[in-house]
Amino acid sequence: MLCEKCGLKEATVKLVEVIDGRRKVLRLCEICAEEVALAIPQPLVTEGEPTETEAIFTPGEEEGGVQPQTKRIIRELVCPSCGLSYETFLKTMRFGCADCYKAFRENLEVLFKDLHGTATYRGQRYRRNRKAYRLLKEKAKLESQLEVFIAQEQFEKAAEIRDRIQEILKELGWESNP
Amino acid sequence: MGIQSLIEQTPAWLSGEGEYPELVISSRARLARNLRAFHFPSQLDEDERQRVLEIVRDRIRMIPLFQDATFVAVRDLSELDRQFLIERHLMTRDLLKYADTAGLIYTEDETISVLINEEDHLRIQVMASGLALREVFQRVLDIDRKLGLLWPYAFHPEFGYLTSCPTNTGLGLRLSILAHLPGIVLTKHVDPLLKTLVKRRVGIRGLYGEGSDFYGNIFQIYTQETLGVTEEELLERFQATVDEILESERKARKILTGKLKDVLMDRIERARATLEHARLISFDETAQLVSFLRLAVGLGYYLDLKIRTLNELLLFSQPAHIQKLFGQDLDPRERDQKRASYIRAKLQAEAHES
Repeated sequence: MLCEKCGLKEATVKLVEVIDGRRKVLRLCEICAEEVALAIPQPLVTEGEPTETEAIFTPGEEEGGVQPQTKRIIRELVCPSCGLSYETFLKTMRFGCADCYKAFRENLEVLFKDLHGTATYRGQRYRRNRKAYRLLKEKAKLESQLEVFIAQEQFEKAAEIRDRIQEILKELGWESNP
Repeated sequence: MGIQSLIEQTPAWLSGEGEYPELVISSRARLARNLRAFHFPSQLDEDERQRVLEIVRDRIRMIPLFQDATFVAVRDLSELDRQFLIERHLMTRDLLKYADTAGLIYTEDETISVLINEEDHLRIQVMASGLALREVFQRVLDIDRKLGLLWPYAFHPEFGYLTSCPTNTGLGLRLSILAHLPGIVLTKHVDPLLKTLVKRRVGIRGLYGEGSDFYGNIFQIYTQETLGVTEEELLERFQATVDEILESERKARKILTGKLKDVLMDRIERARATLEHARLISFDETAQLVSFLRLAVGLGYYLDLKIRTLNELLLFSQPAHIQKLFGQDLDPRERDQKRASYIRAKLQAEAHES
């Protein structure tokens, strides 16, 4: 089955949550499971303590290395998610996945300041509206039913469905702007 | 609208409508977006890229705007059709990188196209004729809001939209115009223009993107900022820069129509005569000559010619377009001949109309 959160990838992780004594089972893909498990609402860690993965890929004392300076570029980083190394990234100037931003986090401020003069995002916030997506799915289902009713000349039923589609468009705020 | 029928129409963004179409051929807004659930295309195997392609192809139909849009899998396209769609600005050369798993969706009037599995999972572009930056800006953001319902995007509160190339990270938005600047070229003001644009973090390149020549005095001018600005600020700043460039072009044209008017008129009349009578003509030469006609129309000469016709001459003169028009593969010499005859016919038809 598909992941219950993103609905895009195969669910490979079963996550059991107990909230107020009630048991809730979620079947998720690895990416979403990690997000939920770490209780991070966004895919990446922004500030504070390094996470476990970051700590692994930051060269530390055990290799006899020196603790990295904050502004120095650290070349030994590797993205744990897609396997891209920072070394390769520097050659191609292409990230391999969204998690590369987390893995290469310490170098990015310097990089973005070089490229853009700043590293601060000031655009709109993105948050997926899952309710709107459910409405769209319902609308798609209704539209295929509508075709069947029209083909069968069941016009009363077709009219009902059309009304519901109009309602959905209204709820989405799309009635005048398809 | 299948690819075969595209050759019979002029894309709405080349209609010659909108503001200053003799200076700004078209305006464009483009977004780079990625699905949260997948690595970027370069780090996906073929099966996963195929999955992205199918998800986008299937879900995008839920948005009314795309209900009747055409989906094309790049692997099903012939060499000629690929070239044709690139010339038409409906797809990019970069879309061929993962040709087996890349796709393209476009609306009937060709103002909206969505590229799947290019450098990013999604490239969404909106185009319009003339100077219409706010229009393409609003349309692309509206489409973005709707597509953002269909799957979770890769987004980070600190860096914004996460893209394959760090030059797009943040807004993932690029605004651009195709500008016709013969005055600036002829009065040798290109270098100062380039210097000004570098300071404004505005890029400039030829008609066909990176590394391409400035065919026919046509420049692609585009924004490069994606961090440190809001969407609205980006639009307003770019609009101001574009206004300045257009003002410089108008000034240059005043110089040309002053002391140099004889020289200019000679070049214009020769350009028209050549286009009306040539038997063999390359695309490069066509672009140069059409530029003089466009300049003439902009200056109020040649009232019998429409900007739309000049846009069509340029579009349909491109190598793949000529071959699609005449329905066959042609070698360069045959293309030059067919191109010349297409142009003669087109200009004659225009003369008859007026």
